Amino acid sequence: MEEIALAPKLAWLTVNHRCNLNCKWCYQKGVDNRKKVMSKELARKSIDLLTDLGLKYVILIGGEPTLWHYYFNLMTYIKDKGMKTAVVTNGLTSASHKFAEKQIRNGLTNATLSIKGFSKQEYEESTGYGGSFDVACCGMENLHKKLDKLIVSITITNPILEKMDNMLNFIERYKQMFFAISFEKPTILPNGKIVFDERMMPERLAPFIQKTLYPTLKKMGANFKMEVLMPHCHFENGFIDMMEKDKSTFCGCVLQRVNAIILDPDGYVLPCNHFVKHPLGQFGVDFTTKEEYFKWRPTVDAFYGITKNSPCEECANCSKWDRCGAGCRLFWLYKGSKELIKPIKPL
Amino acid sequence: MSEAQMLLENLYILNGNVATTPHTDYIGIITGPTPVGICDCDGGGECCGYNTPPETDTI
Repeated sequence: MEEIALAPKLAWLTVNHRCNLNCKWCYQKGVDNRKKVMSKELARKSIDLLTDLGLKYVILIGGEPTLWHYYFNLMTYIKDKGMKTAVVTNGLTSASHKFAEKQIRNGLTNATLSIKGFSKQEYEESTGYGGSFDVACCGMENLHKKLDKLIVSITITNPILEKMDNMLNFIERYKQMFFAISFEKPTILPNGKIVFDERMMPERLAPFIQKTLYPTLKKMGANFKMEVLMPHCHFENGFIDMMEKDKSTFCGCVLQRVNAIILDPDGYVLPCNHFVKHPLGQFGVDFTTKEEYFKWRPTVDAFYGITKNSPCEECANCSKWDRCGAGCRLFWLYKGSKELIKPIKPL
Repeated sequence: MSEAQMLLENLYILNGNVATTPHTDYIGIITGPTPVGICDCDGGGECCGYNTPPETDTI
């Protein structure tokens, strides 16, 4: 029974750090060796373990995972093991019909395509490659036609926020697509320093989401879900409940779920993709088999004991704690409770 | 202690955060909040299908 509770339900393989873009806000920007790739042997052994653990999906992420030399072969291997492959991509490689089709032939079922800007200029400012904007759109259209499920992911940064009309026009143009909207989060550098654009703190974002972004998207009839990984006390009473009722919110936080396994190119187990170079353990060292995994997993309970619990007394005593969870822990690492928690409002 | 935990503890203390006593269930599994939007499906996207398992997603 304990094994069932500890078994991961989600798996990410970070197969490379290499990317054909250079996004300013990327959580991988702290990686010193961008050429690092997961070996074929490690990838196959990882899949063997994930199969034994009973996972149904494997999510390939990077860097840009479609640039990985073993991308197609691993998808076939995953398919042969009876699992499905999802990929998190910037979509550039899928602008080629042949590439897009080959992914699907090899077993790709779902994709999350991250779009980095909504005009050539914005794309240039965000990624350093403005000319790639049309290519990304082409890749997005290809995958939308060919895949059962495509999620278009938008991470809102301050430059995007300041030119919101560009984003809204883009969403209107691709209204038939499904958008997952999230917001920039702090980044952990290898030395443990946390960097972040202060303008994207919850206290500024929450009113913008509530008064402007959410109502506008609803009025447009956009097909979207929004990640509100910030303390709910920044929102007016009832707003989060309304979002939940509308099924307009999602939470992808693996520190809150505690049911995911994320492996980096060296097999290091990351608690969250943002914890680059700060692993919990290592595949092949701490565990290789299913039995070893279940022996190792409780040894990191102390870590999850912190992330699953309230970071301050105000949260611990708040009536909304169970459905709030105090937001992304990266904010807590960046700022303390005095800056992040507002006095509890009466219900 | 893992590098992740050291980082977490150091920064929590640095920023004045105080993690309260962890809650565990009867078999010792850590429990905690279930924030809005967390689903229990098993895969299919950057999150995991955004509340709806892929097989039944009508979006």
